Amino acid sequence: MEELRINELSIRTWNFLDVNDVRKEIANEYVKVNYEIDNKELDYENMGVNLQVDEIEYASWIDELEIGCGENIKRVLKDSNIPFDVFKVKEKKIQEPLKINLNYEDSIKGLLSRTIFELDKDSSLVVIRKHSGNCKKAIEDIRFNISENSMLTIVEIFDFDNDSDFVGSISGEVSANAEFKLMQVCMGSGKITIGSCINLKGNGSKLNVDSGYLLKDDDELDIKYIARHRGRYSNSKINVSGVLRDKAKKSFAGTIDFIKGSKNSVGDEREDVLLMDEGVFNNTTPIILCEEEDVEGAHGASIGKISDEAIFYFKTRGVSEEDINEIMAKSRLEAVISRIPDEKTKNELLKV
Amino acid sequence: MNEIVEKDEGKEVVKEKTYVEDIDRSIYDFKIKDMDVFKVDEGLTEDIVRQISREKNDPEWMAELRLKSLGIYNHIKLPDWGPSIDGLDMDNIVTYVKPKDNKMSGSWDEVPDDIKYTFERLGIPQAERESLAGVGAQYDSELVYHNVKDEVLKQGVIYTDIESALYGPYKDMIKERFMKLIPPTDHKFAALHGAVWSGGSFVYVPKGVKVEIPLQSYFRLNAPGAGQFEHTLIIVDEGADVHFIEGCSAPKYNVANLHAGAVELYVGKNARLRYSTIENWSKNMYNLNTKRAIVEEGGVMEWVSGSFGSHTSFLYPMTILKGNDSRMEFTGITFAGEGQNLDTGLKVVHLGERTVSSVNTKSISKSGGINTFRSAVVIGEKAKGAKSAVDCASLMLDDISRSDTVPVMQVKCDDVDIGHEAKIGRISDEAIFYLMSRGISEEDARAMIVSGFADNVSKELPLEYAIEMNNLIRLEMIGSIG
Repeated sequence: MEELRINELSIRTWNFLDVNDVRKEIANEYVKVNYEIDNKELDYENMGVNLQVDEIEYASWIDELEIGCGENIKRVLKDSNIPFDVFKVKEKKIQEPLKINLNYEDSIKGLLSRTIFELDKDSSLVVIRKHSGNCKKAIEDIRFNISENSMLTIVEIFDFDNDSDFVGSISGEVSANAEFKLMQVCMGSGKITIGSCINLKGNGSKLNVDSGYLLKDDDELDIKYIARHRGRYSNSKINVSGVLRDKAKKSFAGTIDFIKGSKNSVGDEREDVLLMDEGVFNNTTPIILCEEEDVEGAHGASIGKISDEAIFYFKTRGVSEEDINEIMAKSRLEAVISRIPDEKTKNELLKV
Repeated sequence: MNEIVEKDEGKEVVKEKTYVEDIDRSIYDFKIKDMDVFKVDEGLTEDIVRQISREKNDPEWMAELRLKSLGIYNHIKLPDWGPSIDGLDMDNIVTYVKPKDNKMSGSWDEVPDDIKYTFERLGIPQAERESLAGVGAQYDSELVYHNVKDEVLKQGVIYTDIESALYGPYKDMIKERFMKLIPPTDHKFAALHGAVWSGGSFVYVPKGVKVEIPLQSYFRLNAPGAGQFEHTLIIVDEGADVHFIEGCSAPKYNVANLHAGAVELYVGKNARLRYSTIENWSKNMYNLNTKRAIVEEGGVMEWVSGSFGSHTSFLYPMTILKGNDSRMEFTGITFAGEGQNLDTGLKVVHLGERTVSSVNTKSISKSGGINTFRSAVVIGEKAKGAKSAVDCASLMLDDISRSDTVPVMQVKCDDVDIGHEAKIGRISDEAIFYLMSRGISEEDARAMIVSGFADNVSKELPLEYAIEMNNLIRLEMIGSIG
């Protein structure tokens, strides 16, 4: 198997910290992941979601995108010869979320899913992708292009079995006054690497990232979110919140990049990490890059254990320390889940 | 009037830009004819290192350390991060320049005229008379002046040049610690320093002694194409307290100069050390300095750092909070103007329990200057109860400059409380409006805001140095919109 450096930091720093990239073993060969569209009784075609599979003529933007997990993985994706599933929405606001369930089964070869979302102007679509099963080597490659005044929301639920090893890359462009919302919830097991690079190319374009994780045992999570502000008045907000238990390891790097020309843009990133056991390991790297004067950028991070005040509060109400940990751990994830724009999905997850 | 007319969604909008005058370097940018008595060849070879060692009359262990460091230097690669140092060619750098008539004096009257003139112009003798307990003045590669006030000597404080201390009663203390905090293997320029270091000071403050007035070292690099590699070693014993101020400058040449000094600080149990630096190297200088402190139980390390000069800087004072209840405070400002790429910040490693670090930094970028704030807060496995708060703010004064922030928090213990905040932007129009609505002119309002922005460092310095620092940043605000 080949080892690649992926999820590279947008600006390198000291090597002793070991945050500049992630070393991943890549499978020699990949096959397509099986998926099914949930609620397929709904006629998406009639609703305006045009699904094409297999060979199509790709627009140049697809290859020119900056890949979420980095350029090294681009070659692997291209060489895989796995075609994209392309979902197109033409000037329509789709009310019902498109629900895609990806079930990973143990396989000698790597598993790969490739999806394109293309929204014409004045469209909207919510996509909910649930990942479950056991994947020894799986990659997800999502690319999108959102035209003017459109909105794409992608919700991803990662609920893998033990020993899973998954890489998820999301890359896309957002045009004038359009918006991309990303919600990612990591609640399963295994080693997950997520990289997302969003190009806010249009004036007034927006990015909203809302992610949560609950890691335990020897789970590992590496997240990189990059917001490239190019358009004027572009806006990005990145919020990540999570819990580390047992010997879990997590590395988060968010980059807000104000490129020249992105006047009047605003970027904000926050991470809030709750550490619950001695053996945990956390890296937090909130980066701001700026070559434009008339912008506002801010980032904040808060890392620590449950406050003594919170523990005291619960204990005085008869809650045991063990239960306090459970409540606090779940509440972080539930806060993110409660914002998923689909009641059914929300309720299913909250029951778990 | 500095007006910019822009089209904003079809409408013309007149926007004021804040004008901040470049730092006035004229008081530093004077040159004395280079009349050295001894100068090694350009470049770095074993012969040159041996020559320096002979010239310094090194003890054997130091000579061996130099050669070992050279070997390490030849093997370590340059960092693969940070600003480019392509403009620095070690083959063209002279690593040792001995000034004419060099002999370290305890009286300014004995210092050669042109060197004395240099330091008088920089205000060092005056500062010594008015507000310092001791001064060390280095010119090119050698200390030319060293003096400590009697009352400080009577307290048992040692402040001397490091070379003579290698043979004195403190030789074992120095040997035990020299390049142990910053080993030659640390990075390429630590290895270079180990091979060619010269000059610098040794300070020892005995147990329980509080030095009321600061000690200062001033470094002046006069020779073009030369390097300065001074070594500062400070030991603050249990319960002691001292403030050490470091200043530096050089005239500007068209060739590169290099500064790769090292500062090793040992803060004992319940001791306190404040280390202040006003760095004002010229814009041809590559400033690749390394500073590191280790703090024992209950000790306090305070860094005050003003970076205004250099062409390219890699500067990250590091603190190891080894003992339980030890603390670090870091206050800094970096001003990057035209032609400058200043990569500055800090590192702090929490090892002991209940250790605390607090960081407040500001940066200003203008006229194409590039500022990078780079930090690492590392919490070790056993650092229960550790707390850290980092606050950094960056001010962009135009759209041809650059400001990047790259902080990393690495935590290996659950019982911690870590916070980090950073902001970047321009001067807020609301803040200007607020002050103007209280009767303050726009020009004064802008001046107040930018002065306040830079205030975090100046208020931590003794008054004379705060004034000097504020003189370095002269602010000129343009009139109001008509």
